[in-house]
Amino acid sequence: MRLLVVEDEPDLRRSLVRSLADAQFAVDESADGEDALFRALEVDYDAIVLDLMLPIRSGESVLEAIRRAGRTTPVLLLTARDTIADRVRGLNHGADDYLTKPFVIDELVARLRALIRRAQQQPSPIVAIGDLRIDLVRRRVYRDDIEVPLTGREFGILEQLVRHRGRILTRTMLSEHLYNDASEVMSNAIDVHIAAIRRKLGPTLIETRRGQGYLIDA
Amino acid sequence: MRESLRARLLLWHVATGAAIILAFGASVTFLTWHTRIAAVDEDLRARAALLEAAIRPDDSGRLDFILGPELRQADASGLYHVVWTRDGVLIDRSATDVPAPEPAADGLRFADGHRERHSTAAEGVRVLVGTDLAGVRRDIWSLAIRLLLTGAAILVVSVAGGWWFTGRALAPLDRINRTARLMGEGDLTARIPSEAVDSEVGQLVAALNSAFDQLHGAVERQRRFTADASHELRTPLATMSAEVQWALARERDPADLRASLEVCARAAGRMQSVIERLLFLARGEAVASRPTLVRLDEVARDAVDHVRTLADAAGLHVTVEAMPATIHADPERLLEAVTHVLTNAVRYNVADGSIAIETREIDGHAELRVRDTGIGIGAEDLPHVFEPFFRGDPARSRDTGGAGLGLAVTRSVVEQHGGTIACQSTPDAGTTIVMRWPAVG
Repeated sequence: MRLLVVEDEPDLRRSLVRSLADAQFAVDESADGEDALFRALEVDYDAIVLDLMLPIRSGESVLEAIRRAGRTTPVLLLTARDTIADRVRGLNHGADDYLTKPFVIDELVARLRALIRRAQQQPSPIVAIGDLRIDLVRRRVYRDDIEVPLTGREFGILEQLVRHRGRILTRTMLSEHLYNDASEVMSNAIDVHIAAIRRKLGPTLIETRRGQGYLIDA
Repeated sequence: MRESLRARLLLWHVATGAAIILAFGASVTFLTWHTRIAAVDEDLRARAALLEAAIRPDDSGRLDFILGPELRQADASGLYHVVWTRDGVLIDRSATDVPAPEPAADGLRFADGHRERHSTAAEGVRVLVGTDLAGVRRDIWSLAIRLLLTGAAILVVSVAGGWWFTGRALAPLDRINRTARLMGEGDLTARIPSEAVDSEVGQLVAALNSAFDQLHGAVERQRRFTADASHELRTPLATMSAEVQWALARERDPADLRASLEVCARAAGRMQSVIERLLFLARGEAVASRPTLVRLDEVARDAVDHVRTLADAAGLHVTVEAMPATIHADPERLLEAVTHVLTNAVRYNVADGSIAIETREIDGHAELRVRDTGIGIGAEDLPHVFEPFFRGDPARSRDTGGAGLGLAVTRSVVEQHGGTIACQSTPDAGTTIVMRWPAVG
């Protein structure tokens, strides 16, 4: 899952990015409204964490511009403004959720996961495919109630394919949601991870469409 | 409330109008009646005189009564007469179709719709001259009715006008009422619409609107201050909280933990600085300061020493031109205030820029002037630079900016010492801050 964190206070931004990376998100960061808007329109983020008081361009204006561009990316406002009027205004501007500073990281992570799940129309966090049960919240895979250990990246790829079941995902799409800007990605990294997943979960789960990408059949 | 006021005004209007019209009508009618009756009485008197003249007793005591033909018939004047002897024997009467009353005491009287004049002529002959008043009465009635109708018409017009006029005059009350209610419900942007500003109500509306503006401004400033203060305090708090949560989430490297604690320390320092400045601003003059004689030029030099490292790191050229000037002040607070201004001059300067500090005494004032070659402040921001949490350029990221309390604190200090502070600026050319106090000696 790839996130954009927009926060102008450098210490808080670094802290957020680190905590969210700990929670297995691929995180890009942005320190002002203009840069945030550019990134939000450039990359198909799974969710955006947005501060309201930003330099150059206010968070509200960024939010409006994203929505005006037709993007439905879930946006969570993370701000010090806590009056009801502020919340209402934020949500009316097109935000999907609202969290006030200071916040609890676990709550932020849970809300982001819920937002992403809702945006991808997957109300239940546990998905069953054949004899596999995939828990998207705890990020674990079970076969007949016995956990099959996957690495973070492997689970990330599996998660993408499960969330978009029946759709072909290209290598680019998979890596876009898996790595942030700072990662150096080997060109065959996705193929290597797919091979590892097949070894652990069986060869038939993920299909290869030659020249197009991968899918898990619906 | 308004309708009843309008109705009360109108009722008063109708009552006085009707009273005036009735009194006037009654007076006119009465006067006319009087005039007409006086004219009738004069006719009666003249006729009676003719009749009395016609009665002439001769020497033998007999009565001679010869009437000219003009008195014989009931004539166009409508007068009639009856003449009796002393003993009440009818001598003559002018027409048959008139009542045949009894003789009565001398004098004028009304009888049965007629006016009668009784008099005694020679030899006790009784003379009655009378006339029917029907015509006079008809005229008077018609006059009264005409007066009443005209009066009623005038009253209706005047009442309608009054209704319209009071309605118009009171309409602003309605608008004031509506607006005040909106304000009460929390819509502080509501204003009373006003067209006519000349009238007393117009002036009231203008005064109220101006009061509403002030109120709105105050509430707005308060709201912004609270939002800014909570932002400035909650952001470092959120940083600390996030760092601590991260550090505690699982085993971490000692080096990572150390870095985490450093972030926390920075955030705590930032919060402390914001809180101290906010408290300083909130306490205002209540802070007990220890004013002594202070050499402004020395304070300026000390402040320059404070920012020297910062300025050198930014590659700025700092010049000091300090002429002696003495004021009453708390030296520590004053140094802090001047250092704020100098820090801003460093922070918002350009590469290879310069800062010039001057002190002098002029016209009984001690003056400290800080001129920089910085990015300057836009004209629309200039009135707000001394407000708490003001940060001019939105492009200024948190990396360079403080909380925006420095200049607010500076102004507070300067004013506590009886001074003034002013700011002139040209964008992209630089800013000059001038502080003045009454000089001592």
